[in-house]
Amino acid sequence: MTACSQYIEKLNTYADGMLSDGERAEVEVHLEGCAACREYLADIIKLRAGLAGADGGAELPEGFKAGVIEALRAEKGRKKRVFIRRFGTAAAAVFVIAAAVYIRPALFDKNEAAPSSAQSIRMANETYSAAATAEAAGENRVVCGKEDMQLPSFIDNPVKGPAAAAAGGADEINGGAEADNDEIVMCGPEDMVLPSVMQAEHADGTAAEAENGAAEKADSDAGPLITREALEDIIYIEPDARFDEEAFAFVLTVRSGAAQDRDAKNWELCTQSEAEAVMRDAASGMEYEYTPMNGEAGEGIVIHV
Amino acid sequence: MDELELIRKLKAGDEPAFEQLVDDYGKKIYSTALRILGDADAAQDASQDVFLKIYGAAASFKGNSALSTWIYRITVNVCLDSKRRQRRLKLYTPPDGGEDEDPQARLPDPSPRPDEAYESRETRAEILDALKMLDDDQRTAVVLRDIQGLSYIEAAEAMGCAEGTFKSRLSRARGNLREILSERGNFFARPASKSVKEGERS
Repeated sequence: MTACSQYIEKLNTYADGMLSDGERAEVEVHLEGCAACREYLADIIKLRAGLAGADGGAELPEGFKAGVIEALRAEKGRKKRVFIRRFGTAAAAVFVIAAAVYIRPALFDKNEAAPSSAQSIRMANETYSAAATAEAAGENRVVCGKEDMQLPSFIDNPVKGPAAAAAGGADEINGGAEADNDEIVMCGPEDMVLPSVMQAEHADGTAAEAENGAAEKADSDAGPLITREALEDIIYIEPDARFDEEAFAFVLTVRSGAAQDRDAKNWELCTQSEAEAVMRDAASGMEYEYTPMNGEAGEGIVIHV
Repeated sequence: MDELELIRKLKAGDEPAFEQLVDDYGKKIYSTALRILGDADAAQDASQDVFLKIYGAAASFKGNSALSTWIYRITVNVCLDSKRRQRRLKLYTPPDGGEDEDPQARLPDPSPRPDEAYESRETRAEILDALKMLDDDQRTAVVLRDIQGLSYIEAAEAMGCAEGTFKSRLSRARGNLREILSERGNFFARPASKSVKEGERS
């Protein structure tokens, strides 16, 4: 027998003891005259009891706690070691941008007021760590930072401004900061040529950067702005990491997890599709294709621009 | 250690606090994951992932909801995400197939024995089997409410939906379970014919 459709949800709520007095009275009156609903309710009550006992005796697997603690320790150790990816060969520049939330405030606007909620959602997904190169000894290296890294003062000040980068006049290192709210920081070798779209973005970003003071010294430094040694104090640099010569590529960390926690500024809770959306946003106007490294949480997507 | 203290220490990365968290929530997280995922190994992996996420996100926990609700929400998200990933990778095995999962719910002995212990074990296996036939949202709703015993509000929050949505999911889920179990004939109409059931399973 089929219960009356308009009572199904109420009967379930009734079985849970969650109906208001008025609704309960109404359901009870109906039940008196409806055998199908009485049967349905009896079944639901039995089902509830069965489900409540269904998990009885389910024990944690052996070594569960030890496994979790071990994983935690590994995670702690991993914190300073972000994925760093080697790219092919050849002759241009590669940007490596890892999703990392705290970088942006640290880098640009320590004193910035709390972002609006819309902004903070964006930040959670879209803020990127710096990608930097050390060009000493003619060897470019790609580095990227991780969530808890503190940026040193030399990054606070001398990140090359957009104007310099766009004009191709940077000295040792070109860097730029921008894309929609200064959320992307990029550094590349001196002969790096920015795609036109990015140049435009950088130009747009100049004013925003000047506002928060990060670009004040953009054009004034002639020496190496970032040294490998200085960077190594704060982030891991893969010994043989270097730039690809061929392509621009973005690498975005993919994490499995919860959309709801985006506003918690927790980049670990960013799904692959969100990450892709972020990249679309960040690289809007550019044509690109992406290659998931292997689709696992913690891996990256390489986006070739 | 009360909840606030626990959270404070978690935020500071305190390892004993983390151990306490595993003691307090390990079983809830694991059994929730086990019922949503239907696979013991996957549940263990997911549980570990949940703890790492808690660790990673502890600093962002603002106490707007109860710690347990927040933890359930992370658990649900991790599990559903893992299901989606499985499907994406086409590694997903249908609920009835593949090598399973929960040895405790399995029937070790195929020959019918009429004693009570057997019956309750069989009932449990029957219900857990039926649970796997539901879609992810419905199964999660039943797991949170009827197995884990969360309130409507807590369960809705854990699933990231409105309470009304949760209630209708739960109703649909129970209705579907009722149908599945009725069709199999064992749960609502005893005594059951075990031979039919065994036949279905093979």
